[in-house]
Amino acid sequence: MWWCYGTLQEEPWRIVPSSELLIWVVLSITIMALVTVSLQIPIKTPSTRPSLASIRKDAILRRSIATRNNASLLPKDQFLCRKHLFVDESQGLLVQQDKEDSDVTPMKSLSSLVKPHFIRSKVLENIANIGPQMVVGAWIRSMFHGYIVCRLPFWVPETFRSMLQSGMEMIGQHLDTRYVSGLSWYIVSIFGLQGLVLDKKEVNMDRGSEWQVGSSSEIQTKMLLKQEIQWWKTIEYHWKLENIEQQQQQQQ
Amino acid sequence: MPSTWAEETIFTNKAQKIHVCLNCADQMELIAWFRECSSISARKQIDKIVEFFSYLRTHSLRRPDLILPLIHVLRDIKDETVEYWEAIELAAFAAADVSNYAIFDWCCNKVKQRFGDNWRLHRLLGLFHEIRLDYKAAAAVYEAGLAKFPNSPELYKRQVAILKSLNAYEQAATVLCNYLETFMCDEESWSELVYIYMYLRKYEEAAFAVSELIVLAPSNWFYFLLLAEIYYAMGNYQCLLTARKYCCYVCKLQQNCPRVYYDLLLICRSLEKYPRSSKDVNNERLLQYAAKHLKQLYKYSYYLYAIEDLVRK
Repeated sequence: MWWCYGTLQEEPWRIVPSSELLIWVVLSITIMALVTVSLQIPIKTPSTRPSLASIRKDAILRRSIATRNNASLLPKDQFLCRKHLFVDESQGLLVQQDKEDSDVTPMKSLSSLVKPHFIRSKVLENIANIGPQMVVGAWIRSMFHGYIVCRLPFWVPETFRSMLQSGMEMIGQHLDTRYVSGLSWYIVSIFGLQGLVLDKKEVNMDRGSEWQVGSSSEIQTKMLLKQEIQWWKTIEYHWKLENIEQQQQQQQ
Repeated sequence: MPSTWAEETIFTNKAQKIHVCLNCADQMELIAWFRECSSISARKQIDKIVEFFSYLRTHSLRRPDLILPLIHVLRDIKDETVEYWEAIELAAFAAADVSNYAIFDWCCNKVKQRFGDNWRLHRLLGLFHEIRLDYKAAAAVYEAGLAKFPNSPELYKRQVAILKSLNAYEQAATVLCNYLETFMCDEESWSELVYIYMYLRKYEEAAFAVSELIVLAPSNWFYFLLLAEIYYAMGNYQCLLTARKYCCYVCKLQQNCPRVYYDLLLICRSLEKYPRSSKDVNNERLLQYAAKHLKQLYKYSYYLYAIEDLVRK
């Protein structure tokens, strides 16, 4: 076979891929992978900016967590002021948010996930991202079935065999795990090129708004709110700077 | 030997005009860089110019004389990166500075064609009116922008900037507080609020704002020092004790800051006036400690005599 020849002097089963492989197989697969990754243009759904209410809720949570974690740096009057701000029965920020959330019925929050435009955008996104990859992957599997494209210069554990030798299962355990099959090369290229091609800086004039709400789910936020209220009710105050003057004297 | 200083008026997004001194060497370097940008071949010019504009933007240098001659290169650029659009924005500010409406309109139209209507365009238009001191028109632009883009923090900040320019600090504090009810974790806004309250002599509110800064950024020793100074400004015995503790904490974090030792000296001196402090053994010791460290820091300085005079009093 033109794609391999044995060098029995060095070790059994040593396969040295031909230089023509680099042009006809490796480069072809890499180009196909690059084309597939380039096709993953994000579908232009209207960018839904977070509402003021969701920004506020997120900010309350972050502020509460930061305050609780650093409460020991504040004097007692400031700490009590903040405790009142967060967990006062009538006006506390966390308590008010919790009440607002409990007003929303579970069906209402679930229905927000099944809105038609949300499902449509998700389906289109999946088709655009995964569809071309599957089509090209199937083509590569049929065209380059059984090809070994390269040998890795470093040792690879046995657990990576199925990842690096997709389509070469008939050889079994005899082949060194360092050899990479054509299909595996395609899959690894896809993931590698996604990181290189798709993560480049996109021109986004919205960069100034740095407090975009994270993608935490509503259920997670509710849990965090309740947790924060519990934390505030049970927190014990201790001022870190109570004996700072005596500590300084000891240091001197 | 002190070098000669040239003052530059800096326009910052923090709605304050602060004067930053650029020494002659930096000025010459800037002009040399500008000459290099003007003279090199077209291929390398674009990158150099964008880099030059990024430098001017990062250091908030307001130099329309250096920016406007290089704008012609921006017209030909096809590679639209983030730096390119920031350079366009900078060019718009420079054009507004010298009332060059043609270039300003060109920049705004370019941004609008690419990004459509967005908050940055509103800010650009509002800043144009602010530069011309037409605050009413600027406020109207920001109001319209906030109606379309209510979660754009920069537009709220520009409203505060206008109120500060008109010396309406009380209203500026109110607007900023309303903004902070939503964007509670904005450190920059809390620090702005601190300075507004200090200007208005509202020390308790300022202390609350500074403690908020401490909570958001506990590793920044300067906020602790600021809180100590605010408590010192409040003046009563308990506040002075708290201020002294914070000064000691800053001494632990930052041993080479003369300001903290000076503050500690003043606080201990103020505490001496209270009869209760005669039982406080720490006060005298901390006074000596602050004096010793101040003298040590200024040991080789021309101002040592002033420090010794201060300590002796």
